[in-house]
Amino acid sequence: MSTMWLPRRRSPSAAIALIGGCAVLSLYLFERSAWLECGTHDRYAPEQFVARFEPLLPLLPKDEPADYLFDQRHANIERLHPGARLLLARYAVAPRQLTENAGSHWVVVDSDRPDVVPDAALSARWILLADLRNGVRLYRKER
Amino acid sequence: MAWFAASLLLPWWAAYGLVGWCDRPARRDGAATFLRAGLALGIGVGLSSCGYFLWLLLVGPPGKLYHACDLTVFAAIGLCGLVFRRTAATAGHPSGLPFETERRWQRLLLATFMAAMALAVLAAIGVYWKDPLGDWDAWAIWNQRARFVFRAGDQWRQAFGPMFEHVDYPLLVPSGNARLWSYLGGEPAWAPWLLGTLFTFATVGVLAAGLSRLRSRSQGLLAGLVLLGVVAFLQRGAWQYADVPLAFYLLATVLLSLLYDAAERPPAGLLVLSGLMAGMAAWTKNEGLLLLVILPATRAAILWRRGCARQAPRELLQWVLGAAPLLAVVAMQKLCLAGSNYLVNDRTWEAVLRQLADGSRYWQVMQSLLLYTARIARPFAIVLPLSALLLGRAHKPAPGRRGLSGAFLVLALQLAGYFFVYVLTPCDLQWHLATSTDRLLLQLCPLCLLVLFVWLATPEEVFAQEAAQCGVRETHHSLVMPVRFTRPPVTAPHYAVRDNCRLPAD
Repeated sequence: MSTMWLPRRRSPSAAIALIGGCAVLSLYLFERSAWLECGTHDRYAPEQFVARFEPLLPLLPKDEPADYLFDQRHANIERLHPGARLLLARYAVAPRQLTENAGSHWVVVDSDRPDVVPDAALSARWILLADLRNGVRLYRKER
Repeated sequence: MAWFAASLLLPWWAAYGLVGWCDRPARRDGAATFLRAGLALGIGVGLSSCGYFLWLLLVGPPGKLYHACDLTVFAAIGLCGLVFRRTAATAGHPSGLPFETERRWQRLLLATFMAAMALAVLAAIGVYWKDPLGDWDAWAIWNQRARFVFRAGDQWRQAFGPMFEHVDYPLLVPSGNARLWSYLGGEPAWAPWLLGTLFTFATVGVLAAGLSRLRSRSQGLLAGLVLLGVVAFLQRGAWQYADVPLAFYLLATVLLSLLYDAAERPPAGLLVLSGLMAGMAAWTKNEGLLLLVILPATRAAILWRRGCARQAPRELLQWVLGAAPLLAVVAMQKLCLAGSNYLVNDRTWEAVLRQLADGSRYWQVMQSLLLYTARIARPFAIVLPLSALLLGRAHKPAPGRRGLSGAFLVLALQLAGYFFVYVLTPCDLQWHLATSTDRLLLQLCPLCLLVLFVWLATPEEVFAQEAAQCGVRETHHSLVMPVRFTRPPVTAPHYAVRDNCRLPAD
């Protein structure tokens, strides 16, 4: 393999220019892209998602975990990973506890369509305790 | 807000005094001040987070009494440091600048570094504006735990209950964030962002100032520029990941060890500080625990190879003295709160041996490490090797290179440790590599740059060598010109006499 392109002579000036130029250019492009994306309003952004759940905090039980159930039929999984949904919901309602399939009497249902009532709630006759009108509902199972 | 400022600045000030006390014989110049300030940030945050955790564990949820005790202790340490600095200032030796006069290219390099810093600050603010809660690890692990601890009051142990994952993860970042929130009386998202960003810039500062002291100021600025240009590092810091504080502590541990080796009369305090930093690395992430084994083992092996084995127990004792308090805190956390780790939970020897014998896993890990290195480095994947060729390797007796082989070994063994964690992971290997390789490589990025730029010749050395070869006399208007050192260039192998043990340069 040819090594013609390799520098034959040591040149600190060229090294300084290369590193300095590359660092400044990388930072400029990164800074520009970070600021350009700032203004976009995204309902799937973590802070927006957390804000949806925060009103639930005073309504959740203190001593008992609640089940978290998300409506897979109407959820945009590509925009927000299902695992991320639970973790963000947990983050929002800390120190109340949300779990998956723990068989709790309390169920938090999360849907991207506020107008759709999930089948599970209808079929099992859960009691609606709170509807936050943003797709988040709190139910209690009949004992 | 005044209390918040005090909660951040007092530990920093106290740690500055501590670093100054441990690093007494150092020159007093800009680089030394920057280095102390950078190291002090890490120590201040680490100690204050330990204090918060211990109060939580032994007394209960921190309140007004905690704030009073916390600030009083740090103010007292800071005052002691101030008194010491005043007395040491009269006794200490003043220093000169690294160069007799500053050349145009050096001013240009400094200006480029400052411009890059300004852009980096803007970028970090931009990242916060875009993702105020940070990214996955921040809200899924570190800040979530901080929120639980801060909000739960007496029930804070619920944050380590069976429904949570990763309960064995160390608590420097969660405790640090919860402490800041306790002073603010709320949970603004900018407090964790501020902590992450401070660690990012402290890492750049410590790398640049440390290399400034070990090699030359321009070498430090070049390394700092490369780290700033690796935008993934800056982004992870602003995303509030714990990998950036860990990168800081890994860098600081090895740098302090290098400074100890480079000193003519090495102060024991540098090794104590190195141990303290290693302890804080273990208090930040489990990966830091690896360093607690690697660094003392490497140091002992190198001393033994140099024929200075008698020196090893004393040095190890000094190092352990620094690491011990933090190790005690880590042990308390592991014993009182942590469950088992998912990497070692329910493993059988058969499964481990089967994975070890599977060659395809090694290949897969190697591929992933190379791929993510290129992804993180971006243009520097080409620019850095090219620049290394342009600068060339430093001559052996160059000052500040003593201890380089030890630093390189630590880096190599830490990387090897990560490699074998992947090979032996019980998780799906593809998933594990895809979700963590970039973060693990970023942890080693500043340390890798430290080793590389200690190994490379400095621009001053190359200019001086060229001038010596060409017989060109120094002129004042050329960009490429030789530089006269205040310290004469070393021509003979450099020896340090330490306990009747002559240590040749590496």
